[in-house]
Amino acid sequence: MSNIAGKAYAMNVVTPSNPKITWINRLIFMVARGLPQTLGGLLGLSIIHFARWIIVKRDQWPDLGQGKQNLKNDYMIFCSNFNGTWDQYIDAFSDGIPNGLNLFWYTATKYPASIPITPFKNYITYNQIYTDYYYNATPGAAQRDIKNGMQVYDTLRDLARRHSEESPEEFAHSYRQALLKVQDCMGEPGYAPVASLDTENADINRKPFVRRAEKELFARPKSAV
Amino acid sequence: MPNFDTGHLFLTTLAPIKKGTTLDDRGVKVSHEQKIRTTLAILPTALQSPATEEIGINSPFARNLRTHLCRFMVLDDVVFNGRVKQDAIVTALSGEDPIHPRPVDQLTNSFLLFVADIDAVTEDGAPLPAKLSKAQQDEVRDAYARRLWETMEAEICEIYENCEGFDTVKDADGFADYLRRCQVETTMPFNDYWLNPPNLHQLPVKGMAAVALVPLLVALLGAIGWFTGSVPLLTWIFGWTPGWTFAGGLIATALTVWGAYAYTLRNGEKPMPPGEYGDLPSVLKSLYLQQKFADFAVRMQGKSNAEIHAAFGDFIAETQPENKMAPTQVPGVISIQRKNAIFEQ
Repeated sequence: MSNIAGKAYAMNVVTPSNPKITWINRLIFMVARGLPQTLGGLLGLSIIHFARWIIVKRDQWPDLGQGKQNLKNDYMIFCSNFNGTWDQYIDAFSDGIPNGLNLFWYTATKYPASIPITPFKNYITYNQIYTDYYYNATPGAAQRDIKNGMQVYDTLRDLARRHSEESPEEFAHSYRQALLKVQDCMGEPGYAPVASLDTENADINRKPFVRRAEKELFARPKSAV
Repeated sequence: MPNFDTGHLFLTTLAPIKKGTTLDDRGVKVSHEQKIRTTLAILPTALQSPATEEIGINSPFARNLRTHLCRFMVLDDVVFNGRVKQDAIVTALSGEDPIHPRPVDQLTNSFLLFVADIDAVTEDGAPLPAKLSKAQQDEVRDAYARRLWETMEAEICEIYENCEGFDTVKDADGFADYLRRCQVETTMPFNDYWLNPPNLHQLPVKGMAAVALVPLLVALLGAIGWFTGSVPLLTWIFGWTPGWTFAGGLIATALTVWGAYAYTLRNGEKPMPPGEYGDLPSVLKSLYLQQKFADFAVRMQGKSNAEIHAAFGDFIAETQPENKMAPTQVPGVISIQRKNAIFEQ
C-alpha cells in the first residue's frame, strides 16, 4: 500500500453530501469549467498531473448482483495525482485557491472551509482513503518537468525544420536562440525525495514477495491454465 | 458526460468485492477483501525508486502506452463525519430526543475503486481526439479494457476474481463488458498538459443574466401594477392586467433560470481541447528529448557554427523528433539513464 509513485502522490478523499443539494455542486463544477478565470487558480498551482471529482449518487453504486445500497447520502470521491508532500499540497490549495476549494466542497457534510487550515487538514485526514496500488508512467518527472519536456520537444521540432532550410551560420543563431528559450526547461528526471523510511523499507521488504508472485501468481494467463 | 476531457478518458470504476472468504496462495483462509489487498501489495509498481529498481520488475500497466496514471483503492465503507448539528429549538419542537442515534450510512459490501487517466484512443500512439460521442467514449473504454486483458490477464484475474460478477468473465470482451457495468461517471475532470492556455468554452454570464432579468422585470412591473391599478407601460401598450403580468413574468423567469441551468451544465460538459503533446507517447518522447538535448547542449559549448550544424544533423537522425513512438523513454522508469529504459524501433 502506498500513496506515492515516484514524484506523484495519489490522494483519495471521500465526502458525504446531502442528496437534496448535491446538484448545486454539479452546477458549481460546470460553472467553473465555463469560467477560465476560476480554473486559473487550479492551473496556476502547476503541481497536478490529473485530478477528478466524482459524485456518486446514492442509487448509482454499481450493483453486480450483490444488491442495491441503502444510503442516506450521496458521496463525492476526489482523486488527485500531485507532486510534493501531503502538507505542501494542502497548503498550496488552501493558500492558492481557498474559495475555489470551498466551492468544490460546497455541499460536503461538515466541511469546515479551507481557512483556517488546521480544521481543514483534519477533515482531509479523516476523509482520506489510502491507495492500495499506484502506477505512474513517468515516475521521475513532476508535472512541471513534463511540461518543460514538451517545450523542449516543440522547440526541437522547429529547430529540425530550420536545420534543413538554413545555412550553418543562420542555424547556429537559431540554435542559440532556441537554447536561450528552453534553458530553464532542461531539468533532469530523477528519484523523488524519500517520503519516509517506512515507504523505502516496505519496497525493500516486498522484493521476495513480488519476485515470487511474478514467477508463480502472474506467470500465466488464467485462460491458459 | 465529462468522462472525456483534454483528449483523455477519466475512467472510474467501482467493483463490488465479494463477501466471505477464500484461500490465499499459501492455502490460508482470508476474506476476499484481504486477498485483493495482498495481491495489490505484491503487484509490481513502476521502477520508481532504488528499491523497486532493485526488484527489477516493471508494472504490468507499463505494457501499454495509454495509461498515464492509475490506482486501485479498496473502499471498505463510506466515511462518516459524525452527527450533523441540529438547532435545539427545532429539535424541541419536533419532539426528537437527541439521545437516540441517527442512521449512519454503511455499504453492504466493500468496493474496489479503479481510477485511470488514459489516452482516449483505440490504438497506442493515435492522436488525441478533441471530440468523442458517448458511443465513441465507450469504444475507447472497451479498447482499453481489451488492451489490459491482452497484456495483464493474469494480474486482472487475480485481482478481480474477488469481485462480484467477475466469475463469468472469460475473455477480453467479457472484461470490457465488466468494466462497463462497474463504471461511474466522472463529474469534474482536470488535466493540465497544455503548452499554451487553451480556448475554453466561456460561459456568457452577462448575456445569461440579461436574458433572465427581462421576465423578472416584467414580474416586478406586474407586482407594481397590483398596487397602482395598472402595469406601467405594458397596460398602456398591450393592455396587460397586473395579475397576469405578474404570473406570466414569474413563470417566464422560472423557465429562463431553468434554461440557464441546463445550458450551464451542457456548456460545462463540453470537453476541453487536448494539448498538442498530451498523449503518453508524446509525454515520453518529450522526456527522452529533454534529456538528450541537455547532453547535446553541454557538448556544443564552444563549438563553431559549422560544427553545431553538423552535430545537430546527427542529433535529429539519432533522436527522430518527428517519430514520437521511437526512439523514446519506456513507461514506468525514472529516466533514460536506466537499464533498458529506451525503446528503439
